[in-house]
Amino acid sequence: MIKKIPIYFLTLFVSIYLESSNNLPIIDYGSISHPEIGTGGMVVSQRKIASEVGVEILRQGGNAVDAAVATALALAVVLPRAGNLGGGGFMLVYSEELKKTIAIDYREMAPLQASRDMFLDKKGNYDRRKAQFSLLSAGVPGTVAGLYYALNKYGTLSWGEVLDPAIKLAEDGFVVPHDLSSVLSNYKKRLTANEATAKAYYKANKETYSAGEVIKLPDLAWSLKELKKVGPDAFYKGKIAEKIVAEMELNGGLITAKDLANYKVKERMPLQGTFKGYEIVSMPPSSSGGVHLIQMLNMLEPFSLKEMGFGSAQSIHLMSEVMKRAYADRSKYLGDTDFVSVPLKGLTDKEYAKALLKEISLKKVTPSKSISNGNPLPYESPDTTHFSVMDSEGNVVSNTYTLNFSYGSGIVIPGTGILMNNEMDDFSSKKGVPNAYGLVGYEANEIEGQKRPLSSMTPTIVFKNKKPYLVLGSPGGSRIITTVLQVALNVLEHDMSVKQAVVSPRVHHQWLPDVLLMEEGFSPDTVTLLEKMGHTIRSSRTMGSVQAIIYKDKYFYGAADPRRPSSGAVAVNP
Amino acid sequence: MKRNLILTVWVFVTFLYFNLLVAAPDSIFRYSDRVHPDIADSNMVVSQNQIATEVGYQILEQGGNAVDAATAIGFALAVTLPRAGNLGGGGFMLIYDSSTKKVSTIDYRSAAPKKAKSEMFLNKNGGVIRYGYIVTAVPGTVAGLIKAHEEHGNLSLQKVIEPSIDLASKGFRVTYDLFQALNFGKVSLLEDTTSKTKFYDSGQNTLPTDSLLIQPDLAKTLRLISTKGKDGFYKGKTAELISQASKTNGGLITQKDLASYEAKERTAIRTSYRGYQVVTMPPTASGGLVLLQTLNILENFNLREQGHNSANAIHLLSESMKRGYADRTRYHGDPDYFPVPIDQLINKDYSKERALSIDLDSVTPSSEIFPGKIIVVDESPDTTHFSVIDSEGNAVSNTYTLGSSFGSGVTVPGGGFLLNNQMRNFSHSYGKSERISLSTSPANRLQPGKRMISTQTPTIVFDPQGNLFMILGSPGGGRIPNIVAQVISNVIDHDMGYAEAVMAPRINQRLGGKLELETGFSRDTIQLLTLKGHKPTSAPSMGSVQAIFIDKPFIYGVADTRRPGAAAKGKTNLK
Repeated sequence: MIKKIPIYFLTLFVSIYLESSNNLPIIDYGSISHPEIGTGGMVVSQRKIASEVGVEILRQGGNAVDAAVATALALAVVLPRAGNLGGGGFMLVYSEELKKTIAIDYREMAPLQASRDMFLDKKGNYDRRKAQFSLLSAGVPGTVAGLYYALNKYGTLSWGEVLDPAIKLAEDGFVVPHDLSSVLSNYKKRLTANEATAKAYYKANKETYSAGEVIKLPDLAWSLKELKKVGPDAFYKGKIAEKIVAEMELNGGLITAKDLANYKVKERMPLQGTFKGYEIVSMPPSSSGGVHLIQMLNMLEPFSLKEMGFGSAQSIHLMSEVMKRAYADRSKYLGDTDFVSVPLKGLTDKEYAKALLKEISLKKVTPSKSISNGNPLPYESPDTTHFSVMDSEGNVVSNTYTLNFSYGSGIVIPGTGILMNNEMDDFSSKKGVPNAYGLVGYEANEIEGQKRPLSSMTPTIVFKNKKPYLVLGSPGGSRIITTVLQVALNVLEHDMSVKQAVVSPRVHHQWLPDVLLMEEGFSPDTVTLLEKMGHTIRSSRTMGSVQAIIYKDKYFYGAADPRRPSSGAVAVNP
Repeated sequence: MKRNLILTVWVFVTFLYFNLLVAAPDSIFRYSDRVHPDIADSNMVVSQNQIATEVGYQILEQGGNAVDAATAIGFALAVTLPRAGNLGGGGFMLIYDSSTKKVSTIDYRSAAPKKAKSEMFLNKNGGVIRYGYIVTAVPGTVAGLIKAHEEHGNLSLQKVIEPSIDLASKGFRVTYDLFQALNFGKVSLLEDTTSKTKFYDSGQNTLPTDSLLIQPDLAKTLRLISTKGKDGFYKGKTAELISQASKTNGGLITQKDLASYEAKERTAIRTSYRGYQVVTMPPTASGGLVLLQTLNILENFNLREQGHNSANAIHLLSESMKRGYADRTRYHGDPDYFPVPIDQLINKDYSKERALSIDLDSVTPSSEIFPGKIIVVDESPDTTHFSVIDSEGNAVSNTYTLGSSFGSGVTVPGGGFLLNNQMRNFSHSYGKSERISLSTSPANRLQPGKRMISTQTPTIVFDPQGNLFMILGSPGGGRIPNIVAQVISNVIDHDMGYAEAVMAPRINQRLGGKLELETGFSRDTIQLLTLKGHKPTSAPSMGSVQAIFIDKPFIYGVADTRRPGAAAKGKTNLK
């Protein structure tokens, strides 16, 4: 009966019927949240103000790489806990002109003098303070070299042009949002312990900036201007290098002038896989993200998660079992491929995935200890940041970079305003179990001079019919890979809009500990069913912060993850 | 063995690291929440349209109070959100005065022209006409906003209308959302010459996104209101334009209808829900009664124990909603024409009795709750709500509408504003059947000058100590009271973060209808619901709750993401 059908639907159907394809609805009113929409390009990052910088570059005629570098430099100013000059990361670039994807590895390198047991004390125990909050925790930063490399090779604008917005933000300052004030307040004890850091990020008397106040970063502005004047050499050989080396010498750090001069960006072959007709392109080692993302997608491909239903016990159980096996492998095999050999081909092979699937029951949990003997993953900080860029020509940048911990080591190099990373903690430096078992996994990620610590960062590009379709990545430490997996599945398998895909709640299992982490937002009924199947469930604070873009039917759809406040997708509408 | 001991210790240590993930640091943001509210120290405006929010915020910055801001927003939305913001519609406003601690209400629902008779609104198939001048009721919005402003505002009327005049004469950029709404709106807007010319080009293509929508006629009307107040709309030039257009096009509104329209003050109705005072709009708004009845019934159960959005919790919500709705068809109407037994309906014992008939394991068939065939006249989801609080703690909760998206589809020539299609919402089949349903209800039958009932439910909630806690409301047609009930329950029963409470997926259950679910419910839950006898069906997103939560020392604004372009803005005071 006509009266019973909500008129809304009627109008909807009638309108769609009457419309030509040009007018097809681009906002899906079935979703609770919606992406930003644009026709000329899109920048999505964890700070809206940095996304705006990227968009301005696109509007000026820059390409995705120009915008990406400008955004990264801006984030170094406005997102000090993860945006950086003193850290490192990974960038995927898809060039429409070259019709190929390039993987740029600008992960930090261990100093020449670094050694396997450098974080063990006299008793042979892991010294957490040394590994995380001392100058020793710093790897040789790769960010400046990496950004310059990308710009030089694949960008169109000058180094100075992409630096200018960041310089302005550092000099003129920016308004402190609530979450920045809140985080600075939480970390006050640790951060104000270092004079230079206190000077940079706190007011006189070590008072925290309140939301609404303007914070200026003059030392950082100086560094950025030096970089503009001299180029990246300012950081690796010039005045900034001098200050870094001086601080290292004064306070027992290991990074020398030689280390800085020796830093190398590595261009690598991206890893490729397929999933139900889509092409998945992601990061190879020294990141473990790409290989395990592809491995897990391979394992899930024979199933229809869509039919099982998003957020159902069945689909979560399957994902959890798949995650376990992937992470068991990660622990065994992964390290910097310049130093160890990693069976990448084998791990991403569909046959291997099939073999692993044979051991998975759809009804019962396999306890982690019966999957493999191995070393649990070292704790990776969730504070990293990812941003995605797409321009109107079809170029794409997917970039994740970090200081490791929130604010890295917490140490600012005096006079530069630059926070140093504590990436060295991402090596397997912990003694205890491994040697006794003689496990390869431990050795693969041991500390060694010039080696890059293993990462989970997973900047990814998904292609549809050879054209870029979905760009995404996330922070979250070891949870990055499962986060990217789930958002990708939400789009490719569950047909969600990119925003709904990002917002939807996530789970995580990393083999050890044998615990299934679940964000809030899943049904209590589902949790009950999973427990009955044998899962040990714990509720978790939010995982990851995915900044993603989809390009479809001439529209760019950008989704900033609401989990981190102040994130923002900004569209280019010519 | 030593190895196992070390392994155990190691696993334990890593487990502890995991706990770092579980324990959130001390923060004003709950880091287990995926979505977060806007935070302010004072002043907060939340509306469905970013431009209107900015207008309201600026009025507060200029020394206006909550009612000044609300008036400004009401006029601004008429310019920037043409499908629901309006001059040619009607609505309801709750006003909280922090100095007297009292809540007053303004009923500015549109009213039936004197000449209206039910048979005029029925089409050949016995259904109700949807669009065109015939279904337009006498608008109440301008009277309502002016009354609020006159009685409570600080700034001059000119000052609060000025931003809207600016927006209408200088224009604003068409968003994707407006573009899409205008596409859907073709079904009614293309049928009216003035609307057609305003929103589409000669090829019937919608105004492109990012183009400037300039509305000079609307600016003229706003100027008249700005200088002449209520008379600028209900008398003089504007009234002439409305009545002339009405006469020419088969409508019923006369100048006399307009001149005699009055916004009315009503006494707010309230109930307590687990110690919290829920205050809302009385009839002619019938949503408020449904909300209070539903909460009274729900209160008899321990929802918290069941877990948010579990099958059991949803079942309880659904069964309570059904019963809350049952009395609507019989008893809800314009109180100036029909004695609505309010006290009886929101009596706790009455609700407790209703609650006793709820079975935790199975659905009660609608026929047992309410005899007779239920015919639902679906109210359009396109209404809009906004919430305001100022630095003194005064608050406004306002919902208003044109009825359907873009109302009747007609724009008054020379006036620049759309007219509502609210005549649809009377019980036109009254007397045609013995069975009582929404369309035959005596309480809501059409009488000259009478207001038709509405589900709009602007609401204010106080905490058990009597402090202002929530300001909220929503569009969503018949779903409104259920939407508001869920947000309230999400906060009070489930302790959810404020943004989480608003963004969480919703259900809707009306008497005799299926159990509607937004996206986001687990298959496991849906299966359990089916076992209880429910008929779950998926529905598009419901409502658009623009809410404010006061939780000292902060004020939290939540703009519901369901409708793009919604925004909250508040003031952060520098220390």
